[in-house]
Amino acid sequence: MDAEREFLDFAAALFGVDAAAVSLATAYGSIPEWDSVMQLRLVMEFEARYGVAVALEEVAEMTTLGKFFAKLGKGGT
Amino acid sequence: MKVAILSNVTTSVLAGMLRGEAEVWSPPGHGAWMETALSVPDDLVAFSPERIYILLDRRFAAVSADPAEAVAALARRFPGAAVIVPDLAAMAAEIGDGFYDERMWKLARMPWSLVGLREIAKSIAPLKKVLALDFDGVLWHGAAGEGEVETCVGFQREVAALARRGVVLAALSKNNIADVEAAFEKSGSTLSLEDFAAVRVDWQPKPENLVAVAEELNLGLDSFVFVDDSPAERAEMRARLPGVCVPPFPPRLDGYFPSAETATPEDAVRAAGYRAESERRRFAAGRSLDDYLESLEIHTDIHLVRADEAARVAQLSQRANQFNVCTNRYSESEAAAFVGEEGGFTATMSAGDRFGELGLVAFVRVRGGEIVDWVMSCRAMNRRLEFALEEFVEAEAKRRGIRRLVAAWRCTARNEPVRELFDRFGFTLVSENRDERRYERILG
Repeated sequence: MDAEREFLDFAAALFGVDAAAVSLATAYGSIPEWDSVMQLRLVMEFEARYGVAVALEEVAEMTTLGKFFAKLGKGGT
Repeated sequence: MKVAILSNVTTSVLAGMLRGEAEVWSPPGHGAWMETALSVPDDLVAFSPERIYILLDRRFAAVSADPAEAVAALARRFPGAAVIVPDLAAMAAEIGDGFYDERMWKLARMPWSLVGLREIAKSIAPLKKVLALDFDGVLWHGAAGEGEVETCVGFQREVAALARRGVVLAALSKNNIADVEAAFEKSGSTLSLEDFAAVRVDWQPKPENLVAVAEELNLGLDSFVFVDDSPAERAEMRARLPGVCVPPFPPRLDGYFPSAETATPEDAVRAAGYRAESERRRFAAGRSLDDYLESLEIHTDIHLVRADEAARVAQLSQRANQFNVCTNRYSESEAAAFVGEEGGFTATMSAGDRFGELGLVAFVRVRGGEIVDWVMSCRAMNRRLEFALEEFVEAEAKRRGIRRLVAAWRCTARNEPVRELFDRFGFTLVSENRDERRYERILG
């Protein structure tokens, strides 16, 4: 849970929303802060922070925070 | 600060990163930079930018027109604004391959990596206050103490002009101090060691020295531009202090600091003020705060805002982040309307001490019995000057028949130092949540 909470805090800070406002189920477009511009930034900030790569073809499929978290190999949805 | 960004590529991600440091206008879509410059849209006119950046990146895209034409058109249309065309190719060469991200280009016509975006963002905002300079190879050709040096006349003149506009100079050079003093004696030298508010001429790592200088001047690392001719020194600074702006060498210094058009008289005295601050700190060693403040012989001039102070009031509202309870940012024309404003008043405070004048360092705006702004320069902090201003504000409010003064502190990323300002004044806290603390004071 600690890793999940840490990841969600990272995403919330990036979106500029309260940590309680995001979960692994939060989806692209489900909150106004996560738009197409933020998607690019989220991919890049995520890669830089966790040292994992998101391939070009994958970017459009990364549609929930759970899918990002799953790439860390620590579970997720 | 209001920034407009025109570009031949997508800048929306960059604009998102700049929010919080600047208000950003960027056109929808991308690529229409020349069209925007030649036929300025109404919303850009209404936005009234203070700085206009034209970001032209040739890595994946072509630049089909001459930027000089766009610069000239924008300078005519916005005479008070600075128009800046950063040298992105030089920046990319400095950072290396990591500057770009081809995936992002394919996805969104946005060429830069996160590293590149951060590098560009910090060159745009916030505006910088301090120029930290290496000496050998920068202010003169050759190395001081190792044979003859030759003054870099043009660069020294440029730096001296910035200093006159209020840019604070700091020395970060690995030399012996006597050799440096001799080098400044050379013909053509327009700078001297006395022009530097902070001097670190020694053999310590430069990032450590820069941190010490930032503490000494009470300024954040994001206020600094670091210039060094050594790629290794630049790389070390960038790696260890990512907040510091490190331009490629030779640098183009025009884009980082407040432009000549927006400089105010306070800018001109600021560098002298920071130099005096170093003396004050040496003077303070071994004294109690009360003794120290008394011995400084502080004097203040507090009065209702005058028309000739509007530019400085606007500038203070734009720049002060720490001592700013509600963080409203005002343009000069908005601040000019505070003079003799109906239904309220604005008070300003200028201050000085035995070491020098600080200029106009604070203003308070009251509207309808509410303190809507309490803003003070970080140069005036920690001297209890705010109490003198508070006395004036209360007296003026009473004189105007105000029986109840209300006030608020609104949380930002930077204004924690004044979270309890109104508690210190003896106001009563009436409500509080994470983002806001509200107060009142009944005037007897």
